[in-house]
This record gives sequence, structure tokens and C-alpha cells, in this order.
Amino acid sequence: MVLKALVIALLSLVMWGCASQPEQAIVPGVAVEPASVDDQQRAPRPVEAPRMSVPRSESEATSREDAEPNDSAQPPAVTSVLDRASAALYLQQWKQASRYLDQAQRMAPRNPRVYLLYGDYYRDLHKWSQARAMYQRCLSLSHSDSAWARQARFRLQDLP
Amino acid sequence: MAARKTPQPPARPRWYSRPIVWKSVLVLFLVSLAWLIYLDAQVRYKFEGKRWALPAQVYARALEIYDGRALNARLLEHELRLLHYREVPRLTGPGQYRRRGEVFDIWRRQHVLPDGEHEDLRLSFRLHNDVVSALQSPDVATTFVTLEPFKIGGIYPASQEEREVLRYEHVPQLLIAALLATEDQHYFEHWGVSPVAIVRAMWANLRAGRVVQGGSTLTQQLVKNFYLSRERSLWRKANEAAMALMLEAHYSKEAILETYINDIFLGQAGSTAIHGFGMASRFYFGKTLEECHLDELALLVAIIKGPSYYNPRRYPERAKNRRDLVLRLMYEQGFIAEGAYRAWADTPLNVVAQPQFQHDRYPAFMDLVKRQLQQEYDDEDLRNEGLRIYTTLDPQVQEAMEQSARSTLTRLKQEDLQLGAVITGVGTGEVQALLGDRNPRFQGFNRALDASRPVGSLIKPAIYLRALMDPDRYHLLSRLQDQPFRLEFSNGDTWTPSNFDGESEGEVSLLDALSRSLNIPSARLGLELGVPAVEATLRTLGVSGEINPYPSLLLGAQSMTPFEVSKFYQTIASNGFNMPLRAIREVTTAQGESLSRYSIEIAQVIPPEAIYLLQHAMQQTMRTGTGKSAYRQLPEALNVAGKTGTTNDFRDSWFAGFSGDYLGVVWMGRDDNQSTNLTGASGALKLWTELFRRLPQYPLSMVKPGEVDYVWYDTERQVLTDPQCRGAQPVPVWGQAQGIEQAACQKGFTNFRSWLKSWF
Repeated sequence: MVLKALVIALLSLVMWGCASQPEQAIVPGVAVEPASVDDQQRAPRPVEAPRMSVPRSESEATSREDAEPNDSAQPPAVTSVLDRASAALYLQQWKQASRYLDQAQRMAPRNPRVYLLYGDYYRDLHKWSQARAMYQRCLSLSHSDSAWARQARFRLQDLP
Repeated sequence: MAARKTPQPPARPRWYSRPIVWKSVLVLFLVSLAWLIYLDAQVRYKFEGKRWALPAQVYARALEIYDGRALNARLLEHELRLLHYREVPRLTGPGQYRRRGEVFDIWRRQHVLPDGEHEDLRLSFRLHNDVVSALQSPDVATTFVTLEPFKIGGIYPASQEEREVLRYEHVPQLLIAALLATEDQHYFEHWGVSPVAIVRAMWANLRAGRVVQGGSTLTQQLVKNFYLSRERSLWRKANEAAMALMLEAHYSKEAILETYINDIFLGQAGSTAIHGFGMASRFYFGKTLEECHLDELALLVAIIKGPSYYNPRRYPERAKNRRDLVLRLMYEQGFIAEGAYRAWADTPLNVVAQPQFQHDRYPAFMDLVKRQLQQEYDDEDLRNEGLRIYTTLDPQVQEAMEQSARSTLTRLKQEDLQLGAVITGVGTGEVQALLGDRNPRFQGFNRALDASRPVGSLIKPAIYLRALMDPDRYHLLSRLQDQPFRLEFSNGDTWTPSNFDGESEGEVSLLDALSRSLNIPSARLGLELGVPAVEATLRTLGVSGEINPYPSLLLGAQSMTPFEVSKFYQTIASNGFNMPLRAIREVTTAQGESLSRYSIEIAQVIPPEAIYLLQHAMQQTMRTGTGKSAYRQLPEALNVAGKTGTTNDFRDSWFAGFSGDYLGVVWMGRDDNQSTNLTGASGALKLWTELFRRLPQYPLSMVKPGEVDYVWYDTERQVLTDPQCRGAQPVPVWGQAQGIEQAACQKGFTNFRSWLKSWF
């Protein structure tokens, strides 16, 4: 306890005025993801391995874009293909839209926006079960409070 | 007085005025006319109809290059070599590349994909740390470029002919010049038959005392090859001349020449005949006809006289002499200048050592493609209509797998050891590589698709998943009994499962039992859930074959092929979404019209929370359990998840595991079902690790479902504790970790970082 109090006092001086609001206290069984797990799960950093490297994960971008519904963190090619898919959907060019979505899915299979648009594609074609599955996939790849997840939930509610 | 006329006998009618003669002439005329009408119909029917039986062309996936794409330089160069790109110091045309350290400059070829025609294009990009960046092209502004797909094979007609049909306007003018100079100087002047050429040939042959020169025009040659048999008779020669005249009467010179260029026989690749200049240029030079230089075009024309006799691979000197003759004729007839003739005649033959034409290169994958195609297409259509089949095969992944198999088998030193392996894309369900035999070129029993073998502990994730789908009863920290037991059946049989090492620990957590692949707690859990429940889970995960309905199922007494295991694990790797494994993306007609597209189809079959927990446990298998040896070679940040499998007496060695991009399933065993002395970890996992070490890829990164929380668990004391406690491990829980006690740290905090973070 003494040690703890000492450290608190020291850090309070250093961090005065700049410390953010503490996160929810860690209580077993309550919704908190440990910091170490967070690091581990996101771990997209290149690895200092002599023979093999792990490229920066697109999921890093996914988790960043959860805060804002934009594709700024995605490779431009993925954003470009998805934008084209979106435009093709708007113009009801189904064949083109499907082709772009397939391409985007191969490029970024864990990008929630891919599945949101796939869901829209199937919804517009009245293929309800596939639309539902795609929105569910979008949800499974988004953090629950992200914009993608919110949009997927809205669309799921609207499905017949 | 007039002389008395003596009666003259009536004048005999001249021979030609006899009715019999007239009638015969008339009959002959009518028969000839009928015959000519018949020949004319023949000429038109074949020329205007389907001229050739065109085999289906099967292509690998087209490599897509864009910033952020994971790509390995060595594997990229392998694919460029497959596509016969040449490494050059300076790019001068399509089909070339240059590497400067991390920077690649490529001049890609024009090609056709289902989405249309793609022009030839110069591109440049950097490959740093296995990731593409700075992609650009001086030709167009682009963020995304495809290379032409590698042709991996064909589905051939009975005639076993291979050809690439060219339009006249795409044929190089120099090839036409070489053809005219060598085969038919007056092609654009005669009517199909050249009397001058015939007389000249007869004179030359008479002088030589043997046949040294032919008098056939190109049109006659085409008629001979296209319509007639190889019989040598005057009757056939007469037909040939008549049909040549008819052909010329009906069709333009260009149309006839185009057909000739596509029809002529120019070589033999195994049992397959190479027809036409389009395919021959790929066969001999590994490039398109448009990319060929003058000397190469001249060689192709030289080969016409005798593809076997002038085979440039077997008789290079003979072929070169004939090629030089073609060049000389071109010069003498004014098609090329003297300087060009001398310069090109000095060049050696530029024939590639190995023909690009290798339809046996990936026999196991081709087997899968054919099986999937035969569900929807007639065999006749596949063999004759020139369909274009765009598959999911990734030549780079396949190459990495073949290399890994070779090196692993060499290290294991077992001559009779066989294998089957399947690599699929996580989240896409696309089959990217397949091995059906230790020899990747073996065209026989395809173990990846047909070797149905007991899967051992690969079955266990299905048991644990079934339990984790019931969060009110089970979580990863649930305690399972690890004490031997005996199950007696009504017929008197008994079943006594035991752990691999013969030991038992009394009680273990569910997480431990799965990551260490303990048999007793797994069997107990399975019995608690009920064998039918486990069977139902396997069905949900995508297992379609017969399932063993007895308790032995719980320890993997269930035979499956590596491909079936891939379906089952694909659902786990794809966060509980079931998706059919696909080997084909699209089928188009020869003209590029889409016939079938195979888009992704998914269905959520497992709650994401349960899958999240299972994936966590399978990651633990790789960190601390039976799969931990993988991290001796793999970077830890890859976060792979997997499961080993071993069957009785070490007959089968299995491993199934996935990263963010790939799912790999590997089986090793012997065809005679004898022991291999290999566990899942010492056999199949070795190959899997070797493969995943070679592949550029993204780590497994799971998005935590909202309903899942983390708790801190003290593995030694088996209690929930605080993050700062010594030995505290984070464990995901769906709902509450019921039944696990909460305790304070034993001796203050030791996990300083976690403790500090908890305050801010």
C-alpha cells in the first residue's frame, strides 16, 4: 500500500493536468479488455524476423476507422474499389457492383464496409438471407459501437 | 448423161454424235457438278462454322498489385518467371521486368480478364518488408494493377489439339512476309492454284530426280490440312485444287490466311499437338506472337516444313539453317534490308528451355477444378468450346507449399510418407493451393480430395465449440475432470480413453484441455454434451460426409479428407461463417462473355462470441500447447491459431491452422496405413510452419464481440485475480466465469505495466 501511494503521488505530480479520465476499473467479469490483450490482438506491427515479416494489418485500419466511418486508413485501392462498388449499386449496375465487391473482398476480407455493401447489394436484389448474412458478417468484424456496426444493425432491422 | 448415183450406205454417225457418248458426258457432267456442289458445301460449312474444337483454357488468379498488399519478392519473381517475363537492365517492351533492390519495374502484357481487356502497361512499385508501396505507372494514374493470369492447363478435346486463335489484324506483318517469301510468293495474285508454281516445281523435281519442291499454294496447304486426309493420290490432289479455287471464290485472301495461321501444325507437347502461330510462339518462346522478333518469326515459319524434323529444341542447327534460309528469302524478295538479314541471321535460336505449355503442372488443383466444373458443364462443351476458366489458384502460394513439402519431406527422411494439403483464403473460401501427393506433378490418387483418414484430435474444437456455445454452463475456465474412466456399451464392448502421455491431472480448465489436446477431459466433455450434439456441431461447421455416431468420435475416430477438414476449419477461421470452398471464380466464353460467376456466399452458423473463445483457445494451443514449436520459426505477432491431430499408432499426422490470411490443412501418412512415427506436431505441423514462414501475410486479428469480456486468471491457483498479480493471464469470457473463485494477489503486484495502466 505504501509503495502504491508513493507511486501515485509521484505520477500525480508529473501527469497533473494532462491525465485522461481513468478507464473503468478492472473488475473480473465486467466489460474491460486488458491492455496487454489489446496490444496483442491489434499487433499489426512489422516483426523483426530475419526471414519473414508480418505486414501492417488492415485490421489496424479497421479498428481506427471504427471511430469515423471513413476509409482514410485503408489502402487507397480498397477505398477506390469500394467507392466504385457503391456507385455501381447506386446506379443499379448489379453486375459491375458484384464484380467490384468480389474484388474488394479479396483485397480486404476483414473490412466491414465490404460486407455492408454486399448486404446492400443482396438487399436490393431482394435476396434477404444473403443480405442478412452479410450484415451479420459486417457486425462480426466491427466493434459494437462503431459506425459500421450501427449501420449494419439499422439495415438488419429493416430487412423483412 | 448424168452418172448414176450408186446408193451410198448411210453415213456412220461420228463417235461423238452417238447418244451413248452424249448421255455419258451428260451423266459425267451431272456427277461432277454434284460433286463440286458437295465440295462447295463442305468448304463453306466448315469455314463458316466452328472451325476447331477449342479446349477450355484454365487460368490461375490474376495477381492484383496495390499499395498495402502483402507480397514477397522471391515469390513474385517466381510468378514472373512462370509468365516468362524477362529480367532486363532496361524495359523496352511488354513481358519484361527489372529489379533494383526493393523496387520492381514491370512492363506487363496486354491481356483479357472477365472484366475486359487490359492494355499493356508499365508499372513500378516498392516491396518493403513484404508489403507493396508507391505503386505508380507512367502510362495511367492508378492505384490497382493486375498482371495477366498464368495459364495452368486446359481441358482438351479428343484430338488433343492446342491453339490460340488470332485475328488477322493482330498478326505481325513480318510473319506474313516470311510466310509469303517462303511458302507462296504470289499468294495475293493467284486464285487458289498457281499453274506457274506447279510447272516450276515439276521442272525442279525432274531435274533433281526426286521431290525437292512443292507447287502447292498456301490455300492448297490449308485445304489439305483443314478438309482432307493425308492420303497422297491424284484424286485427292484434284479435290484439293477444286476446293482451293472454291475457297478463294468465297472468301477474302485475309480470311484464308488467318485460318491458315491458326490451323497449321507447328509442334508437339507430349500428347498435345500445337497448332497455329499464336500457341507456337508461347510454346517455343514463352511469349505472344506480337512480342516475337524477326528471327523468332522466321523460325516459326521455318518449322512449317517439318515440325518434327526442324524441332529447334532437338535439332537446333537444322532449325537454324532453315530459319536463315527464311531470312534470306525475305531479303531476296525485298521484305527486309540486307543489314537486317545479316544481323538477324547471326542471332542464336532464342527458344525457351522448358515450354510454358505445362498443363500437368498442378494436377491436384486441376482435378478439383474439373470436378467443380463437371457439376455444371457438359464434358463436350468443356472440351470443344474454348471456354475460359478463371480459378482461385495462387501460383505463389502453391510454389511456397511445394517448396515447404520438399524441404520437410527431406528432413523427415521417410520414403513412403505421403501427404495431402489444402490452403484456402480465410474469409474468402478460395482454394489457393493444393497438394495431392508428395510429388506435386503426380497425376493420380489425389490425397487432398480423396484420402479419407481418421482425423484424431482435429475433431476436438467441435466438442469445445459445442460447449462454449452454451455460456450458461461452460466457459474457457470451466473445470473438467481429467481422471481415467471406462465406458461400457450394451454389447459388452468397453472404451477407455487415455491421454497421449498416459498421465492424468485430476482436473484441468477447458482452455488447458483443448490447448494441450488432453483426451480424457475431451471425452468426458463430449459425453456430457452428448455425441449427437457434437455430431450436429460438426454438421453445422460444414462436415457433409457420414459421421461416426459412437463415442469414439470424440477422440477423432472419424475419417475425413484434408479438403473436408478445410471446410470444417474454414468456418472456425471465418468467425463462424460457413462458406463453400471455391476453386473457380468465373467461366466465360472464348469471346469473353460471362457464363458463371462464383461470388462468395456465407451463412452465420456459430455465434461470434463462441468462435472468439475457441479461436483464443486455439491461439493458446500455438503459444503453450501442442503447436508451440511453430513459434520457433514464426513471428509471435502472427497470432496463429491451430490444432494438431495424431491417430493410433502414429498412422496419421494432421495439422490445421490459420493466420489472418490463410488456412492450411496438412495430412501426412502412408498409403499402406502403417505407422509413420509422427505426431501431428512432429509431422504435419512442420510442413505447415515451413509454409507459413514463407508466405507474406497479415496476422490473425480478432474483433472482440461486445458480449465478451476479459478476466484475469491465475493459472497456478486456478482463481480469478487482479491484472497486476504474478502469473495473471487474460482470458475472454462470454457472460460470467461462473464457478471460479475470486482471490487477491498472493504477494502484492508484479505486473507493473498492467497495474500502471489500470490507473490511467
